Amino acid sequence: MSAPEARRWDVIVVGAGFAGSLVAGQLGERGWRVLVLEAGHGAPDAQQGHLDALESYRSAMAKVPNSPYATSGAAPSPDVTDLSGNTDGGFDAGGYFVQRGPLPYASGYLRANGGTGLAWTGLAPRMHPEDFRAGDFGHGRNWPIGYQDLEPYYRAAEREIGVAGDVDEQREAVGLPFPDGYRYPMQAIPRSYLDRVMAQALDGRPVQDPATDGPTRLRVATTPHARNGLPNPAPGAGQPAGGRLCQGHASCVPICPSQAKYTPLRTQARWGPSVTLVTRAVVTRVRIAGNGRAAGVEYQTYHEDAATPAAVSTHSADADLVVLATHAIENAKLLLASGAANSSDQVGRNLMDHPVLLTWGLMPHRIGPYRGPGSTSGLEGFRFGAARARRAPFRIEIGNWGWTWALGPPDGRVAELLRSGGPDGRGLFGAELRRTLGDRIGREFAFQFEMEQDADPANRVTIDPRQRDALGNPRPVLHYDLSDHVKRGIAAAKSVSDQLFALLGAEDHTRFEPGPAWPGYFEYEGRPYAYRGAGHGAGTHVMGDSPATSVVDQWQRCWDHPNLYTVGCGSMPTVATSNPSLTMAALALRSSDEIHRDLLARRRPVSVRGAAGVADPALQGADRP
Amino acid sequence: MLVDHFIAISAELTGFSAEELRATGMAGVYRAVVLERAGAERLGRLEAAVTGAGDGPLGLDEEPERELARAVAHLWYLGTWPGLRVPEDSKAQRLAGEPFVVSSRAYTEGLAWRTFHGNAPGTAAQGHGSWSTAPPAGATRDADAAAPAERR
Repeated sequence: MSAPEARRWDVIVVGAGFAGSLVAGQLGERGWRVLVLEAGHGAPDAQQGHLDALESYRSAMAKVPNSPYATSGAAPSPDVTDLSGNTDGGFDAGGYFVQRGPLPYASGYLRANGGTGLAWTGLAPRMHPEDFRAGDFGHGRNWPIGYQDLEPYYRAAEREIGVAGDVDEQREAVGLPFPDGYRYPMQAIPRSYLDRVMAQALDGRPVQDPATDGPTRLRVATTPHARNGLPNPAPGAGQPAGGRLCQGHASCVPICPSQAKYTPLRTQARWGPSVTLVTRAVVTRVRIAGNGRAAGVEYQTYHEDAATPAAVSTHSADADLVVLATHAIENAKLLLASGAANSSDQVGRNLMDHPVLLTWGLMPHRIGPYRGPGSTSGLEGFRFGAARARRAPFRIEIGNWGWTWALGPPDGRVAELLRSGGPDGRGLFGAELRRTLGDRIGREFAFQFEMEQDADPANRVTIDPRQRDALGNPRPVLHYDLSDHVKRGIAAAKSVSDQLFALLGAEDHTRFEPGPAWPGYFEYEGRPYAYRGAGHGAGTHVMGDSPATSVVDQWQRCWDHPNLYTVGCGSMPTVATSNPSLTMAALALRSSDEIHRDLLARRRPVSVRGAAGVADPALQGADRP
Repeated sequence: MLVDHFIAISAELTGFSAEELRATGMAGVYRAVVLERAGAERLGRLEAAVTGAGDGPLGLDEEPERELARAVAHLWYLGTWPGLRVPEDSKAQRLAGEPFVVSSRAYTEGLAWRTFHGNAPGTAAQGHGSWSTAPPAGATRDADAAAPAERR
């Protein structure tokens, strides 16, 4: 391979995560020469890298999302362990982020080849049609496109990343429109035993959401997953996307041992020869030419873990078109550091996540937790409808992994019984310890309420010349808070949770108090709550229909620079209530078509290269949704 | 032989039988960890306290023994050395305070998961759809049965 800077590229893609890997693959498939620059490490051998990551995970003290993966001080990753709550409320933030808001942005991400798509949970629900017009409900923004514009790309994304799901159930329980006869590539991932017990107790029962007049009827519905289920025998369903069948290792986050869960490395394995990946390449700036076009990027490379200036060299690469795909927060940081794309003053603003309310308890009988994917079913009835004008909508995930997200793995419960269990409060041992742990851990379950956070320009990423990382690059400075709309949603969710516990006859152990474990603690209308971050950062280069009020157009193309695309969840005007990766993937595929058209238009007078892509029948269908 | 001693007190502390503990393959490693982190003398005092208790309650009235007993049970249940409180002035003992996962194998063999017939996350391929079935029917019964059978 010649040095990346020694030639001119058709496209430079910055970031080899979810969106970047898809865009690079789509463009490479159409013959474009693509340079992918990834800031983090990449394993020379994917299979060995996977085995090393598994070993790191199993021997890690804190099995947090980033724990299996090699990270570097040269391209730091924010980690959930960077945050700690104070006993009198408030929080402390260490690590990569500088946090200056009243509440913490409570999610991390991963800078490594494959990105946060290595550690993601693998749930792939579509957004609801209403989610594209939250502004009509008086909270947040409207998208410049609707569900129907994205629908063909949802199908393309479901084929590309390999989604297992039940179309009929999604149509009935969520109200999603699908074309007649459409089937997911794979059959739904089987529901957990916990889901079945819940369905028995909850299906058809009413609960009263404080924001609605009438009751909401419950229905436990399976969730679409980007992990391998049984192939769908229905006609037109397509083939599984590679990898093994899900074996229920119960560690999708942070790593799937059987590689049944989609990761961007799977897409990378299908990259054609015109795609070149360089890892440990930290892009520091997009070069904007005098005519407003992106000319290329500047980047630093570093040696292994040595983040000393001596081990760093700087480079430059040129291309006809640049795609930033480095995660919502990194994209905003890079645009700000480049002085690019910000005529609207919206770069870095509208930072959103899914604040997650967790409630947890013990079922009346053992349900076999810590088996299968983290969540296989949910309660969908609070995601849409008129109530979203009065409180943030939310999606309820049924949590199969006990109290892990709420209180950590069972280690804490073991230590507590040893320390203070037993009749004398001095610790439990022997058969009584064994019996008590089996009884309690065996009944653990949780609900995970993923709240839609409305786009608020005051929630933002900025950079500060005094705050730099080891290579001298700016650290993201965050200001984050929850609106009253979100807090009303959280309060409504807690009320729904109380009713669910009653219907289940379950012991509620939910308890929020200020302290190290709850940096997201707050009080609302006199009651204590706390949230965790779902890792779904969004909104920071918001998509819209006007250059005056948004950063990118409906194709994720910067209004200010016709050959600079900024892709990923940062483009989303609403984070909605579904896990956003599938929507990010659909948007990336849609943008790839437009990028291809841009490149063709630029080359047409002198070249016919790329014509093969236009003849692709799948694409022709997708071109005109 | 010395490992047998360690297994005997571990069975008392954990509620798992000597055979179950032996089958994990971790006894020798765990004994070495305890010797390294707490010292032979302290382990000896714990063994004496536990084996001397006969049919009565565990002889763990003294706090240093009780602390080590908790650490040994913690080790078996989670594969993690939890650390011990270290006297301020004891440089040689500083090692004892540091918590760590013994190995990925130790994590896999943690007994906490076995108390409800589960597996440590990320360690066992359980078959597609296995999570849909009720937990093993014997789960409740044999945990209850363990009480009289093993506490003697």
